[in-house]
Amino acid sequence: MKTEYDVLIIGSGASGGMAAHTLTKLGAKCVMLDAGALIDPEKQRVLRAVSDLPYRGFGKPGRFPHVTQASEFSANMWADEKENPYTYDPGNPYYWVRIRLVGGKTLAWGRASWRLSDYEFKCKDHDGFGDNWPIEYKDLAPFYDRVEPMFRVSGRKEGFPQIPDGNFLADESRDSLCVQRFLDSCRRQEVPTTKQRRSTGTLASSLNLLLPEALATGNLTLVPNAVVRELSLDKATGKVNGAHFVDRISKREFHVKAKAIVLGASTLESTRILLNSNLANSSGTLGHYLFDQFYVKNVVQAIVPEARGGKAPRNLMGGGGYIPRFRNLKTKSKDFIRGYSYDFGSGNTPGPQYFSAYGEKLWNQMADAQGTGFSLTTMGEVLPRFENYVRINRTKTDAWGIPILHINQKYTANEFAMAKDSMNTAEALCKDSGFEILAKHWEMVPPGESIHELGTTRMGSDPKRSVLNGWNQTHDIKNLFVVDGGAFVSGGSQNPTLTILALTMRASEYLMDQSKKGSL
Amino acid sequence: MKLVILFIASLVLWSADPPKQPIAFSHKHHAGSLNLKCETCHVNPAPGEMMTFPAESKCMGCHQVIKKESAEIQRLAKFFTDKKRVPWVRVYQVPSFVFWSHKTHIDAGNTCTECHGDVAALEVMTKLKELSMGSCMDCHRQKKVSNDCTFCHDKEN
Repeated sequence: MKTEYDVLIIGSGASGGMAAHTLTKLGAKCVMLDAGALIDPEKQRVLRAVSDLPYRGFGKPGRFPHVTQASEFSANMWADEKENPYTYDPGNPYYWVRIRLVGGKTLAWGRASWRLSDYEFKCKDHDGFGDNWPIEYKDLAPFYDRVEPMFRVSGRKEGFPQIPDGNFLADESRDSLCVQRFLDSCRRQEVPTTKQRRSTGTLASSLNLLLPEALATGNLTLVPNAVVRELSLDKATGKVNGAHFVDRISKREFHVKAKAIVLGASTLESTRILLNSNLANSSGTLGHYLFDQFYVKNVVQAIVPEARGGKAPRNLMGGGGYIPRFRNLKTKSKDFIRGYSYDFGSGNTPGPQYFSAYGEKLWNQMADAQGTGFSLTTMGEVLPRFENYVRINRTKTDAWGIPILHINQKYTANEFAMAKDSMNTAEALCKDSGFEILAKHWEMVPPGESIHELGTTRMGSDPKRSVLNGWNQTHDIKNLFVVDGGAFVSGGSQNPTLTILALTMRASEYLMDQSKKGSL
Repeated sequence: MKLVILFIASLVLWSADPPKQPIAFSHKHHAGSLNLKCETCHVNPAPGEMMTFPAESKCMGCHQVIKKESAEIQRLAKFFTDKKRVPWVRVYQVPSFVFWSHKTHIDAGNTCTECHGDVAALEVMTKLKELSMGSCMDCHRQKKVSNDCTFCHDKEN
């Protein structure tokens, strides 16, 4: 490609999309490379009855061994694991869940939109572990304020310092009677609760909310099916000047030139590109401090007894809510630092695994419990540790001949203690609400499965201990930015997308400011 | 994991093209000119999830004497005498992974037109309203009803 662009953006999801949206509106001529195809969801998604699917919705066994979210309905959405392999140590599995389509994971995200607080940004000041971010909440708050209306985030203002209020569409929905009972129980035990905060709309994706406006400026060239091999460096200036990429279909090699590069290919893909490029690693921390958030799915599955046998009166069942972090804010737990949150919901039907019966007896028990369920899922903070890392596996490549990642992440005693505490607390809350406990457990999903992988290109004030500065700019190369979840220093238990969007908007405006000053 | 649920829930396609029906039926005539209530023909049997197409016997209750010379009515009558269902083509359909109950919405005081539009003005049944997750959520928010994922979708166990 002969044109030299102002900015090369790699990736088109939350971070790449927001970078394009911000930079093109500020007048930058941008080119965006994405490894996946450009789809039109309105035309290309087809609704099929489960009876028309060969595996009745469950999917072909073994096609997505690490994507528990995949089903036959969505099978074509996920990145093919044979074309895009990765490795991990036996016995220490990592579930890397990827979508390679323009729009990235915003085509399918859960939309939970929580702000981080200074409990995360200043975490070391609070409990002494890890590192503070080089920014604090007040630096990012104005950008959260602008992102929330773009994504039509619905929520309820509460004044909780651990999940700062935002610019919401007001959620004034009423709670069902069983949820009210649970909320009363939480109040008695001084556990905070609120409504979910979620982006609304039929599709809440980079594909429909960010990229169309960027393209409308005339400043964005979008190149789908462009698998980036590595960045190129001008050795005379020490700055990056473009990227080598492979056309996904023809496998032809290309190079694109740009004055600055914004990496937003997802936490681990951006790190893989940097490692394969042998750039931005003077600190030796590139790839390290990998963390995510652990989930304990259905940590407690309870039943609302009055709803058994289809006898639920109107307004008893349905709806749910969210419990933000409440541990280690003003008090200290003896077994762990940091905290966890819960999603809770009611009206579900417990699956057959919850009943020790077979045949007609099982059928009857499940029928009796139809729509009676009340369950909670734990989302816990995982501590960022140097020992959790990714590196390049030099012995294997993907379908385009690009070396792949070897991923190493383990949960430690802090996460296990937190998971166990979450089970006991959820059980106590459900019992106090008058619910029957059907099952409880504290088995965390494998690392990666929450799809909240973070770190590996973390921010920091000290260039010897971090990859990025407080503006998502690499310490080593001024015209190279990383704007996805890799920048996180800590993540709390809040879903990270809203913060990625806000950080990217902030970083993109800084990039333009620096570019105009001639400081890149 | 809500990720998959939300993606699939957004698959409902909206099209303004009316499907071809096996018998030409005019809602404009029946629900408009004759002012028949929707529930006259579309009953909502327990437990109430579905509204249903009328039984052929219901149609023939009137058409044994009304307009029986019409070719369309004669086709209807043949279905009736052959004891076969008329293969009406559904215009609105909520995916199987959405908990949906007409009864719940009717009991809450909603009218048919809120989701289906002014069907009584239609000569040919057409999808007038978008039925997507976004439109459901907008209505829920306006009416102060929960938009929690599990309100409409099953939670993976």
